[in-house]
Amino acid sequence: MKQMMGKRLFVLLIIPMLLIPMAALGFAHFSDEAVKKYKLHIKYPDIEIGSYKVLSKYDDCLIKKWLDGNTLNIQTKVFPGWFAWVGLILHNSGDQPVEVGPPSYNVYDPNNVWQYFTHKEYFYGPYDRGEFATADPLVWDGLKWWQLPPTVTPTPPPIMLEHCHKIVLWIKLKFTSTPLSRCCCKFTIRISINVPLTQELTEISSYTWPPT
Amino acid sequence: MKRPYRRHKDNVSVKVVVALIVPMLLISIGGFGYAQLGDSINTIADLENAEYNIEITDCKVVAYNGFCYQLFWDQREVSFNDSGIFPEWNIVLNTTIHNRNDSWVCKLTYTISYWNETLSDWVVTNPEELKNLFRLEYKSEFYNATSGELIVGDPELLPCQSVFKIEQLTFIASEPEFEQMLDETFHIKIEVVATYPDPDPLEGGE
Repeated sequence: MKQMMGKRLFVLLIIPMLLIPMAALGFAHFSDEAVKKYKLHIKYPDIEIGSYKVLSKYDDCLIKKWLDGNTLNIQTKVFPGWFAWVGLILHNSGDQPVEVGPPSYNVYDPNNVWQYFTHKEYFYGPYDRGEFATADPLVWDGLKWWQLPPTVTPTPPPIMLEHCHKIVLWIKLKFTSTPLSRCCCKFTIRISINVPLTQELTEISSYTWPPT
Repeated sequence: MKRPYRRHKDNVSVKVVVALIVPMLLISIGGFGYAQLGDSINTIADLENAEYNIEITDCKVVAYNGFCYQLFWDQREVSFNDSGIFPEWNIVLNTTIHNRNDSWVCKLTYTISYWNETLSDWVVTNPEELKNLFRLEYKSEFYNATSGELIVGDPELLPCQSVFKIEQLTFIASEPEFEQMLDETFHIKIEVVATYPDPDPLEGGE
């Protein structure tokens, strides 16, 4: 009795297992189309400002600063000798490696004072997760304006930033100690600092479209 | 009568167009979204020149050993007159200087001038020259208006901060010098200026 049951079960399993591929093969053989369905996920780069600081000798409270998406806005008044250190943590929260390039500057300068500004950039890292916070010597946490730039050797850009990695960028912006009389007494200037990001393209498979 | 769409519904070219256009649109939108997601990080700095605005908010005589004085003051100026000074004559003035909230971080400095009758103009001088010319000893110190602590060097004030400027004038002429100076009148001007702070030697970078 038990043997009979075993044979029946075997037949019930094996016959459909044989018939289904045969039917699919037959269908494919006699029909003129075959459909393959792929579910693809597009990888994307996403760099965000993880944290920011603006440090100055002339009281940080006098510098208005706010983050709007991937743009840090700074508003303040300057005088000969004024300087500020703009610190950014750039975090790759996407799933693609991204190349971070050296910053470029665009200015709206109706009073022609940009010539009296100097700037320099210092990149540190990349760091995995929160390593930048505990780095020794300091590169971020606990740094005061008089300790900048950090004593670590900076990393020259471009820097490849892997998924979840971070880099520290310090930018020193200075209005040189030229007497105001040599430029102009009243002025406004808008300085746009742009850190370019380039996606590292990776070939996942050898599929081509349309199929040959 | 059939509508144009219905007429071409089964047309192969319509299907091809739909099959090409829809992915093209989607890819374009996707590309735009991708570009928006992460092609740069920006910092925008809006900067303008600092302007300074200080005012006198109080002035009083702290010590005086003369006979009679006149003191007038307003937001811009203190005027002190004494028509009868004598050897060892002494006065101590306390002036409160306030950095207004529409001002910026500033450094206070002062200059001493005297009126030159010949030139009919103010001539900038220093305490040493003042002593030699008029036998007047001038001392000045700044104190933090909140803590009362002595400020060494030129004070730096944030907006809305105040300092006390304590000034002491002493006539140090000897009796013979005093007799030679009888009927002379001197006009002395102390001008307090708010200017931008000095660069700091601890400043790093570059």
